[in-house]
Amino acid sequence: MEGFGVFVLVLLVLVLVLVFMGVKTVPQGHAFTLERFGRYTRTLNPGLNFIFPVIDQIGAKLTTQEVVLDVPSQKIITLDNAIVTCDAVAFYQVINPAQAAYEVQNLTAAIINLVLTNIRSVMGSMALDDVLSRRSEINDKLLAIIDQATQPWGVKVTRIELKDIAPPEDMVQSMARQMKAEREKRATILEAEGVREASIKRAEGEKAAAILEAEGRREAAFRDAEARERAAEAEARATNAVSEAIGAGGTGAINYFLGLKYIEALAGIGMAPNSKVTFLPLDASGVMGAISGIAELTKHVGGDGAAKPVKPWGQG
Amino acid sequence: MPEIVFWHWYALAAALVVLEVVVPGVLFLWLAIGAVVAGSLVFFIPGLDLLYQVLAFALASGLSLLFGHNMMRRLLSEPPAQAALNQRDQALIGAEAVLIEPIANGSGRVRLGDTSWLVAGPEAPVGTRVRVVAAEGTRLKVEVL
Repeated sequence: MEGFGVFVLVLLVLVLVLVFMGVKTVPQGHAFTLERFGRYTRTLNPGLNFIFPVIDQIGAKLTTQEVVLDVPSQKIITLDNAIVTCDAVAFYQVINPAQAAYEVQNLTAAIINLVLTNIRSVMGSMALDDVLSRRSEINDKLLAIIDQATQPWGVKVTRIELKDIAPPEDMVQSMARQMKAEREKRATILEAEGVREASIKRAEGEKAAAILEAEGRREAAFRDAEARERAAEAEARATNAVSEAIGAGGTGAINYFLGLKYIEALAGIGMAPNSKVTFLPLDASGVMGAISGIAELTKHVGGDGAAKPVKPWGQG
Repeated sequence: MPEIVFWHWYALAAALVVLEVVVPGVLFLWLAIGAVVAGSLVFFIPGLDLLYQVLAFALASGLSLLFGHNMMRRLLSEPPAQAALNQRDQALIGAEAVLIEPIANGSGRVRLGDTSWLVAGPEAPVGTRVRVVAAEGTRLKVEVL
């Protein structure tokens, strides 16, 4: 009875151990590897799993969710010998838990070191300007290289992103200076162009004004000349008419006319307002002549008492 | 020591089921089944020796674990609502993509989603449209469309 009691107790303990160790619940998002006598046999998927506690044991507990790996920052020398500090972030997911557990010893350390060295080699083959401006290209290159390298480990690297690329402080300052200088250059050029445009416009305006003015003068001169021509023509016509009249009606009419004008002119000289002295640059004989001319006229008019009618001008 | 009657075993079974509900994992269910079997045995054979009761409990628990294992297998064999959860490679089967690296020596690269995958398949130049037919871990098997 004593031995039987011990046996029953041990059996009870064994059953309890079987129950507590043999039932494995794997949570979603995880995968456990099962080792039978230390050798990998299968992968326990999420849900309820039974194992034989005596011969089986759980090897590795892996997560099948996507994992974010922070890649520590490092100093990199670019192709043009600039030293930049750069850190990155990598996303990976375990696709084949067995490979991830047994093909590589320390998965995260392995991936981080791969990323570090490959960032160095990819960025070391580019100039600083390219490194700063072609990040997505670098990301794609890194992803292709590292995904290929991690393939035997049953891991899918889904994304590698360069987080921060920081050139040294003095480099940043000179970059800023360069940018400022370029902007200033643009501003100066623009200002000069503005001045140039303005002076061209101004000169063009002045030119147009001068041309217009000259044209105006020319036009005016033409008109003046025309006016003078017209006046001369009119004078000539008047002279013509007078000479025709003289030709037709003898010299009496013109003599009368001239005499009249002469006397009128004398009157005008005499009536000049400020002159106390009337200066007559006249030879008396001229005046006499004129007067005698008038006398001639009267002779024609009054000789016999009956006036001979004077022929009007223009009737030869 | 008071005599163990079948109610005690049934009470233990109920307590174990409560524990089963509270504690994650299917652990106490088997012991509860063992307790029910032991209690029923005591119900039919009153005054059974305590050692035999415990023996019955232990054996019934062990056997229920063995048989329940197979039963649970069948229960678990129904596919989960989202079969491809945490199995990205399986989720990609049937997807169509364009080669961004030629398939040479049986291995190339396609862009799927916002990442690129290694593919295995017949020789094809860049730009060929392919369909994923199977997933072998991180390498996808493709056929040319």
